[in-house]
Amino acid sequence: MLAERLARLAHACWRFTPRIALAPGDSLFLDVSGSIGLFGGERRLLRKVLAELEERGEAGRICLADTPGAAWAGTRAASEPVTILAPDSGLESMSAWPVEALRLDAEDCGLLRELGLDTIGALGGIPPESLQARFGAGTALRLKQAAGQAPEPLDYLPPPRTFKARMEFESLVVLRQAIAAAVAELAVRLCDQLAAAGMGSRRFELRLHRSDGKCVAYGLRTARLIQPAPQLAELLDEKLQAGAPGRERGVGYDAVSLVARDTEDVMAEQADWLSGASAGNLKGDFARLVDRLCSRLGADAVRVPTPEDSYLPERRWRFVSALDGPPPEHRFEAPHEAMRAPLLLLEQAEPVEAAAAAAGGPPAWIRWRRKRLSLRRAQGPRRVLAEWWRGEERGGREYWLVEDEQGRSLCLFRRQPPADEASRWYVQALAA
Amino acid sequence: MRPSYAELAAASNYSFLRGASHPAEMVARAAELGLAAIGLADCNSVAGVVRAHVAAREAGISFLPGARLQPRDGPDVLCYPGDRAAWGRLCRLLTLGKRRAAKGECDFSLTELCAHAAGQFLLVVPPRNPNDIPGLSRLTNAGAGQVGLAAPLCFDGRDAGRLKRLEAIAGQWSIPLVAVADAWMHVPDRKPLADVLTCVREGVTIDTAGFRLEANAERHLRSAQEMLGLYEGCGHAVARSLEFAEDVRFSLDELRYEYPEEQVPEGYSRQEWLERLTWESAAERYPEGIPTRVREMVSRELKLIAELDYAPYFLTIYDLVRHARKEGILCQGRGSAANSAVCFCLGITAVDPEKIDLLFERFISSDRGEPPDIDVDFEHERREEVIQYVYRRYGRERAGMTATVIHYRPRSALRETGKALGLPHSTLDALAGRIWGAGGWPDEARLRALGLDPEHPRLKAALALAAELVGFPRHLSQHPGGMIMTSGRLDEAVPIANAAMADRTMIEWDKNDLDDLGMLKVDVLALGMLTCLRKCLDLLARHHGRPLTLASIPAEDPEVYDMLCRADAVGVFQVESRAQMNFLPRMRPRCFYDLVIEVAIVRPGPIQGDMVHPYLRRRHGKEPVEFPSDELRRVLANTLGVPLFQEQAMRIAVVAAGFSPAQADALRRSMATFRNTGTVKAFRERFVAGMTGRGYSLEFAERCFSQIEGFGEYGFPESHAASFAILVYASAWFKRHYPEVFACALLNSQPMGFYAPAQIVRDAREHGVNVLSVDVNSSDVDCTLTPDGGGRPALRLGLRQVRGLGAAAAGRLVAERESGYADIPSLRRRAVLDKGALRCLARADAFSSMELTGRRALWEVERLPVGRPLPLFSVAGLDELPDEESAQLPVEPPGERVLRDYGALGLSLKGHPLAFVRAQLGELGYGTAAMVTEAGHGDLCAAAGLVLVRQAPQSAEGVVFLTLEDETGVVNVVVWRDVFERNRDTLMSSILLGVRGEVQRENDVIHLVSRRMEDLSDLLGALASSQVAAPHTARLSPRLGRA
Repeated sequence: MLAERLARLAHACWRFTPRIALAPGDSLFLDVSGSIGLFGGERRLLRKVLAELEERGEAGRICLADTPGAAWAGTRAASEPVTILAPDSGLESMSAWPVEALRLDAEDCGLLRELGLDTIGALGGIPPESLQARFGAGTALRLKQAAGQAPEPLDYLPPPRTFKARMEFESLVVLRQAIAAAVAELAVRLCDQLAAAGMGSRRFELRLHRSDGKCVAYGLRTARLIQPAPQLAELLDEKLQAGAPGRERGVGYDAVSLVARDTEDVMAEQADWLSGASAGNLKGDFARLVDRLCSRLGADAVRVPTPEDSYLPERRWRFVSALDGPPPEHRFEAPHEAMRAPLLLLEQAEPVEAAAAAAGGPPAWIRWRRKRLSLRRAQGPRRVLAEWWRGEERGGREYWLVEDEQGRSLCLFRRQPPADEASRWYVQALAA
Repeated sequence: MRPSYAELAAASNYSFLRGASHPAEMVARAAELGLAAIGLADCNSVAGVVRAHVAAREAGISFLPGARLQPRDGPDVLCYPGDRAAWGRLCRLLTLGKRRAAKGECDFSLTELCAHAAGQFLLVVPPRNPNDIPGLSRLTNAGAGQVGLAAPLCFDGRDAGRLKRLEAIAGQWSIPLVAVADAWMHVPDRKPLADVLTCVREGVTIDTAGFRLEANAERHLRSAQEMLGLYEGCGHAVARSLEFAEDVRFSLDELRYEYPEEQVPEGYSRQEWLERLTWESAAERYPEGIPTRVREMVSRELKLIAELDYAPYFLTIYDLVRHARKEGILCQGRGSAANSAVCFCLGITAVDPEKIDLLFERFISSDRGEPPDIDVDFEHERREEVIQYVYRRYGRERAGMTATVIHYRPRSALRETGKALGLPHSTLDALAGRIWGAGGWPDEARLRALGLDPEHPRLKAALALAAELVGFPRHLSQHPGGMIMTSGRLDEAVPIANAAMADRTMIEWDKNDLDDLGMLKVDVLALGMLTCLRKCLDLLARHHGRPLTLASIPAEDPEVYDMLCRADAVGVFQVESRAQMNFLPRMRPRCFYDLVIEVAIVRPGPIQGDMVHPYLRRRHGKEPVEFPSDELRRVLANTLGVPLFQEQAMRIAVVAAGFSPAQADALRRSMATFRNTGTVKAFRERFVAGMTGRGYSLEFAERCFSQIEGFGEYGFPESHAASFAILVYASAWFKRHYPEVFACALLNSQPMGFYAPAQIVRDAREHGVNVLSVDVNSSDVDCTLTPDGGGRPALRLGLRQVRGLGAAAAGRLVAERESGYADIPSLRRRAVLDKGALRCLARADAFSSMELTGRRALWEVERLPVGRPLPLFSVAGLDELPDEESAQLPVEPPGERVLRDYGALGLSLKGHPLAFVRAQLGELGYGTAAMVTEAGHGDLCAAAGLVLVRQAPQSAEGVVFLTLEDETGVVNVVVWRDVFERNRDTLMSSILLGVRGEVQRENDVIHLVSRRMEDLSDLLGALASSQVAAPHTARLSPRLGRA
C-alpha cells in the first residue's frame, strides 16, 4: 500500500529530476543538483515539489541538503516541514538533532542513548576509533556520509514505462474504415509491446485526435488480462460503432492513440490461460463472450448466476456481474443428491388448495392455477429449517417431490410445524 | 399397551462443539418424554457420563453409559459396555487412542476396536448412503456382546428408501435394526446454538457456513409415540431399542473405588498400621505427653475412620507428605479431614487441635456420607517433584491427574457467538471489555452506552445464544493438582489422555464426577508462600541459629498482631492484598481464630451476603450478638451470629432452609459452575421459602442466599482458612521479628504474591533492613544475608534480580568467582559470558566494585566483541584489547539512573523515579502520597504515582481499585464506575497516573476517590532522555506490579 503510494509519487517526480532513489522509511531521495537552475532556484523547486505532494493529499516533509544523509536527517529532525540546510555546513547544522536521524539501526540508537550520546553533536565528539570499536564501521560511516566526508552511492530507479501506440495520419481521416484499420494496427503494436514486457491490461483507452484540437476518448474494460490483438481490435471497433464517430460534418481526425492503463504482471495469469487453451478453451471462449457482451451492452448489464450454499431452493444461486463471476466450469453441486436445484423455480411459492393429507404424508391431489392435479407418486419428506440468522421466522418447511398422473413433477412444501389443522401447501418449483 | 422406546444415540455437549445440550438436560428430557432408558454416547469420550448418571438417578430413568467410537477406518459405532470388564475394555481402548494422539484427539483403528469388543453392545451407525457399510463384517465377528445396526432418519427426502436398504443389510447379517433419534440436542429449539457451535468448530460465520450446517432441527429426542409414527411400517426397530437397552446391565455404580495397597508392611491391616503411625507420631508431636483432649479426639477419629474404611486414604496422603518431608519440601494439608487431630499428629497440618478450637467437626461426619477432603499444598518450586513421585510410585496405569472442565464464561461465550454471527470486531471488543468492567451481562442501557443498538437483530440473537452457551464445556484441561491413584488399573476405570504439559496424563473426569462415584482424589497443589517459608526457616537456622518448624514458631505473639492491626502486611500471606490491608485495622485481629476469619471474610461470599459489616459491628460491641434461632446458635457461635464460612452457609441450607445434605451439595455445585440461571433461580426460591417458612426474616434469608451465590467457584470454608491462617501467622511472625530474613526469602521465591521486588525491598528498608546492591564480586544467584557490623544482617540482592541475565550465566559467574573479578574482560573470559549478559550486568550497575558505574560500565562492555569468548583465543591472549583514547561521555542525570535501575532490576536503591519529576508534578498541581495521608475527610487532593496494582473485583460491581506509589508512600484510589468508563484507556495504559479527587477517611483507612485522572507517563519518558526527544526508540519502562 505504502510502497505503491511511494512508487506513484516517484512517478510524479520525474519532472523534477531523472535521479530518484527510494530511501529507508517511506522516503524518496531526489538528486536535484542538475535541475535547480531549470526551476529557478532552490526555493521555487521545493515549492513545486510541495505542491505536487499536496495535490496527491500526502503530508510530507522536505529537506534540501548537501548529502543524502543530511537531507534524510532533516526530514526527521528539523523543526520545520520544509528545510534548506546551508551549503558546506557539515555536521554543525545537525548537532542538536537526535542520533536516530542518522539512519542507524534501532538497537544501536537505544544503546547510544543509554550512553548519553543522544545527539549527532555528542556523537561527533567521540573519537571515531572508539565509536567504530563499539558500534562497527556502519555507524561511523553514516556519520561521515551525513557530513559529506564519505560518498554515498544511490540506487536510482529505472525510468517508468508506458504502453502506448500512436499513429499520425498524413492527411485528415474521416472514414470509419480507415480509423478501424488504424486501430487494428495500433492494437497489434500495443499487444506486441505488452507481450514483450510480460505485461497485460484490463483497461484500455482509445483516443481520436480531431483536427480542431479536440479529442474523443473511448474506455474499454475486458474480462481478460491478455488478449490477442485481433480480438482487442474487434472490441475497440465495437466501441467505435456504438460511439459512432465522424458523424459530425467537416470534422476529421489527424491522429489515433491507444493506451493500456493499469498494466499488470502477466505471470500469474499465464499458467491458467495456457491450460485453458489446451482444455478446449472453454474458459477462454466464455471470457470472450463476456467481453463481447459487456462491450456491447455495458458491464452492468451482463450477469451470471453464482451458486450459494443454502438449503432453500430460492437461495441456491444469485446473480453477480459477469466480470467478477465464477468461471463456467463451476458446477452447481450440492452435498446430497436430494438437494439438487429444481428445473424451474417459480418467482414466488404459490399457495395451492390440497386434499387433506394423511398424518405426515403428502396430499392426494392439489388444485394449482385452477387445475386439479391428482398426485400418484411422492418422495419425501425433506425438512429444511428457516435461516434463523436472517431474522426469519422460526420453523421451517417440509418438502415433497410429487408427480401427477401426466408425469409432471412438482416441488411442494408446507410449513413446519403446521400452522393450523389444514396446513397450507405451496408449489415452489417444477422439478425434472 | 403404551408404546415404549429407549434412546441409544444421544450425544451431549461433551462431544465438544457438536452436542448442543448438557448431559443432564438430555437425561431430564428423556425422562420427561417417558423414555424407558437413555444412553449417552459422546464422540470418543465418556467425559459426560457421570453427570448424566447423576441426573438419571434423580429423574428416575434407567441410564446407559457409553461412547460413540469413531475409528479412523470404519463407521461410527455406539458402544455400551455390558459389564464392568467391558467398561474396562472401553476405557482402555479410549486410553490407547488418546495417549497416541494430540491433546483433545483420539486415534484408533477398527481392528483395535474389534480387539476390545468383548462384552460390548455395539450399534453401527450407517453412513448417509448405506449401500455398503465398510467394516460391518469384522464388527459382527468381533465377539461383541451384541451388534446391531442403528437406523437414524435424516429427513432429506430419502428416508424411506434408506430404511429399506438398512433393513436388507440387517437381514443379510442377521443383526437387529434399532431405531435411533441420533440426538445432538434435547429439544429442537437448540438448533440455532448447534449452528453456532458448527461455526465455531469450522471457523466460519453463519452467513458463509452453508451446507456445513444441518438442514433441519430434527436431531432431538422424541417420545415413543413420535418414533412409532416416524418409523411407520418399521415398528420392530423401535421396539428393538428396548430389548437392546435391557440387555445392557452395566451401571457406573459398579465402579467401586479401591485404594492402593502398598503402604502397609506385612502383618498389619491398613487400619492397624494407620493407628500405629498416628500414636507414634503423636508422641513425637507432644514430647511432654499427649494431652487428654487430643488423646480423646484421636481415638474418636480413628474409630470413625475404621467405620468408614478411610484408613487407606489417610495412608495415601501420609505417604505423599512423608516423601515431601524426606526431600525437604515444605507442605501442609487443608480441608475438612486435614484439620483432624489425626492429620496434625501425622504432620499433614500444623493446626494444633489442642490450641485451636474450630467450629466445625474437624472431620467428615458419618451422616453426611461425604468423602474426606484433603488438599495438600507444596512449595511451588518443587511441586512437580511430588507429582512425578506419584507417577513413579503408582505407575501411569494407576495414577493420573484429574481433569478440569473449562466452561464457556460470559466473555468467551459472547466473543465466540458474536464471531460466529459475524458481528464486527469493534462490537465484540466493546462487549468483551464491558463484561470485564462491569462484572455482569450487558443490559440494554449498557449496550446503548456502548453505542450499540440493543434492538439490532444480530446483536440480540448473539446475546441470547451466548447466554445459552455460558456454562457449556469447552474442553478438558488438567486440574492444577488433583491426582487420583487406584489399586487396580486406573485406565480400566476411566480413559486417560495426554495433558497439555509434557509428562502429564489426565483422566476424563473432574472432581465432581469422582465425588459422585465415590472415588477419592488428592489435590497436590502449589503454593508460593510455602517456598518462601521454607527459605525463611532455612535462613533463620543458618543466620540466627534458631531451628524452627511451622508448628514450633512461637504462637500468639502480641507484637505480631500489633503489626497486623497497623496493616503493616506487605508480603504477608493472604492479608497483603489491598482489600485485606484495608480490612486489618477494622478487624483488629488479636488471636489465631481472628486470622482464620480474616482469611475467609474478605471474599466475594461474605461481601455479597453483606455479612462483613454486621460482623464488625458485633465484634466492636456496636451491635448485640444475637442468633437468628436456637438451631443456628451452634452453627454461628464462633462468628458472633453472622455466617461467614462456606460450611456455615451450607449448614444453614440444611438446618434453616430444610435442604437435605445432598441437596445442599447440589446447591453448592450449581453455584460453582456457571450454570444456566434457571437452576439458580429455582434454588433461590426454595431456599428463601424454606427459611421464611421456618420463621426467619426474608431479608436474612436473601442475604444468606446471596452469600452462597458469592461463594461461587471460590467458596472458602473454615477448614481451609484454618490451614491458611497458620501460614498468615508464620509469615507475619517472620516479618515482625526477622524482616531481613523475610524479605530475602520473599525475593528468592518470586514470582509469587502481590508485590513486585521494588515494593518488597522498599518495605524491608522501611523496616530498617540494610539492602545492598547487586555486584558481580559480592552477589550470589539468590539474594543473601551478610553480616553487617554487629546488628541484623544486611540483605545483598542476588543476580536473579538482574533482568535478562540467564540462570546459567549467573551460576557460572558465581562458580568461577574465587577471589573476585578484577575487570570486565577477565569476568567475560572466566565466566564465559556473552555480551548480552554483560550488558544486563552493566545496566544493573553490578560493576561498582570495579569502580565502573552506569554509562562507563556499559561503554566498557560495548567495546567487547559480540558472542562468547573463544577459549583458544583467551589462552593465546588474542582477545586482549588495544589501549584506546578515553572518550568523554556526558554525565548521567540521577533521574535517568533510577529509571535505568528499574529497567534492569525492577527496583532502585538510589531513589524513586517520582522524586525526579516532583517539580513538574508540582507545576501540574499534584501533591505527594504523604499529603493525601494527612488530608482530612472530604478534602480535595491530587496525587500522582506509579500504578502498582489495578483491581476490579467481581464483588465490587464495576468499581476499580488502584494503588499508586510515589517517593513518599502509596495512595489507594477508588474509581467509581462512571469515572472508570470515561477514563478506561487512561487507567489501563498509564504507567504514571495522576488522580484528582476527594479524600475519604474511615478509621485508619484512607482512600482518594477519583474524579479525574491523567496519563503522566510521558514525564518518565522525558526523564530518561532529558535533552532530546526520541521519536523512534522504545523507552525503558519500569515493570510495575501486576496489572
